[in-house]
Formats: sequence, C-alpha cells, structure tokens
Amino acid sequence: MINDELITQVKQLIIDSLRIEEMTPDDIETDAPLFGEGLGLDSIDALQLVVAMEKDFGVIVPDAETGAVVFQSVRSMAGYIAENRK
Amino acid sequence: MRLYSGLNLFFIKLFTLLVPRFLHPACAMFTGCIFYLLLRDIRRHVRSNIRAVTGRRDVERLVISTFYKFSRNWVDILLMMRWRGSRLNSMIGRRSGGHYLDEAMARGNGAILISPHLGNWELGGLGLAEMGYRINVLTFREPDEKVNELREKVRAERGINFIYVDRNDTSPLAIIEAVNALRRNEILALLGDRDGSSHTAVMEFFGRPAAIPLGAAYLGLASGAPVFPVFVPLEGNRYSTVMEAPVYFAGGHSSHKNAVLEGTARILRVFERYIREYPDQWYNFYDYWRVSDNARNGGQVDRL
Repeated sequence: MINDELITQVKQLIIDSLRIEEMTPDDIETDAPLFGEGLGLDSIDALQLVVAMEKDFGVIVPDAETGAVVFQSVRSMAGYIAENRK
Repeated sequence: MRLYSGLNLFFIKLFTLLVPRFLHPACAMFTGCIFYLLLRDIRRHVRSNIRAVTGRRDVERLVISTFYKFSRNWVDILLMMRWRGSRLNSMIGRRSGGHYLDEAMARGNGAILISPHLGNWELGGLGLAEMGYRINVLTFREPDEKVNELREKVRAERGINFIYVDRNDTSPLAIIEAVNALRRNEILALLGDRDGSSHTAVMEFFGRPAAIPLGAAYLGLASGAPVFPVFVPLEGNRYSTVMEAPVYFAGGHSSHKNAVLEGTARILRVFERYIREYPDQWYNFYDYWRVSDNARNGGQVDRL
C-alpha cells in the first residue's frame, strides 16, 4: 500500500542515493516526471536508483520495460515498491 | 565482404577439425596475405589506423601482420569453442593481474571488464568462465544471425550470459540487466573502444577526437563496481591474459559528467599503451577516426 511514509522514504532514497545536495523530500513533487522535466535526472541516476531500490527495499527492477514504468514518478516508484517488497 | 559471417565460420571450423594447431601459423600467413592482397579498401583503413597509433608512415609490415594475426585469431576462437580444461588453458601463457579481480569480487559489487578490440578478448571470457566466474557479456547482436547462434551456443555451454543492447535505444534503462548482474556480484564484460550506441562522448584517443562509448562508466558509477582494463594479446603461439589496476567511478548527481570523463580518460590511456605495444592486433577493419567523425557530425554523440 502506498502511504505518505513510503512516499517520503522514496524521496529520501532519491536524495541520498543520488547525493543531490541542498534538497529535502518536500522539494520533490510526488507526481512530477523524474527524467527530462521535473526533477531532471539523467541516465546514470536511473541506474543508481535501480541499485538503491534493491539495497534499501529489496526490490529488483528486472528489465528496461519495467523500469520505464517504475521510474515515471515518485508515486510510480512507491507503487512498485509497495507491490514487490518482501 | 563481411568478415563475421556464418559461411566464414563454417569454413574456419572445418579447418580447425582437419588441420592441427602447429600448422595454423603457416596457414594463417597464407590466408592473411591473400586477404591483404584482395581487400584493398580494408588494407587502406588498417594502414591509416596503424599510422595513427604508431605515429609512423612506414607500417606495411604491421598491416600484413594484422591480416595474419586476425586469421590466427579467428581460427583460435573456433578452437576455443570446442576445447575445455587443460586444452583451453594450454592456449594461455602469461597471466597477470588476477588478484585484482578476487579483491574486487570480495567487496560484493561485481566487476566490469573492459577491453578494446585487441587480441583475443573472447578467450578472456571463456577462461574466466572455466575458472568458475559468472560472466555476462554486454554486446550488440551481430548482423549475421548464424554468428549470434554460434556464440550463444558456446556461451550457454560455458555458463556465459548475454545481455543484448539495442544500438539505437536511447533509454538509460536499456542496461538495467547489466546493473542487476553486478548487484548479484557477477562479472560484466564489454568492449570499450567503439560502437557506443547512443551513449558516447567525444574524447581524445591517440591524440585525435574519437567517439568513445560510456557504458562502462555509467555502470561503474551506478553500481560502485570497479572497471578493469583487460587484454588478451597473442604472444608467440599463446595468449597472455592481462588485467590492469581497476578504475573506480564515484560522484554525486552534480559531478556525474566529470566522474565519467575523468575515469574514461584513464581507461583510454591504458588502452593506448597496449594498442601501441600490439598495433597489429587492434582489429578495426575500417577507418576508425573517420567513422568517429561521422558519428560526431551526425549528432550521434552525447554531450554530457
């Protein structure tokens, strides 16, 4: 289940794993695109998020097709984690 | 004429079944000279590349040697695909740097092996698989499906996994499977001197701008895995396996560009050292820097 606590955890994961300086979870919009517009993450960030999600939540993104859906926004990430974490 | 083709591989395989290895050098010299004489355009491209690498104009012996050693290389690849254990090991002479790999694997982030198109890189992967390492090869599909089938058959028998990348896929997520392999503390092997799909940067290589693939840098930065330049050159009648000290990529979101370029530049300096030492084993049968120019001018190169 997606709740506010999980949303905040995902935002903190993004900040910590990508080492984005001077940013707090409140600065990240839950439904904004992660790549391009919105947060403006890049190729390497995407891969680092894959690693971080497995480390912190035990959730694996198996392939590019799944990744394209998972990494649309903070909410989609949280939804995937909620469905798949052990 | 496509050098990597199912038909060529069929004849090479037949050759390896009929002719003992001690006769291969003489046969390779014969076929190498035939191809040298017949393939004028390829001969010109090889000459141009070797001139850039050596800084010399008089390189014809090296050009002929390139055709000879490439002939030997392909025959040995087909042999390697049948040989196991001590027979496969008999093809390897000098070994160095292996302790780096064990130290890296102990850290649990996997390891990335990166090589230029030099010597017999295929043997490196087979040798490590033979030693029990789990190997994943990040590659494009060959145009000839027979070549892909042969490679996959052999690699499946040896426990080597393929991760195919679409040359035209601009999504960074195209290499998610590679990241996952590293997370499983496995080894990822890839070539790093050309053919970078859409993630490539213009960098200096032998003093000239070249389109350099960045996949290894991205993966190293994302996963924390060390990137090892590795080389398998032919020395005499056997291959040496050399692993150089690892390059680590590290940096936060705001320093990705610098981390990627600095680390990749370090790898390129190591590549240059080995290609200068073995210029007739750097197998690019096209004008390497002209293709780089075209890639840049066609806008196929990232600006980080």
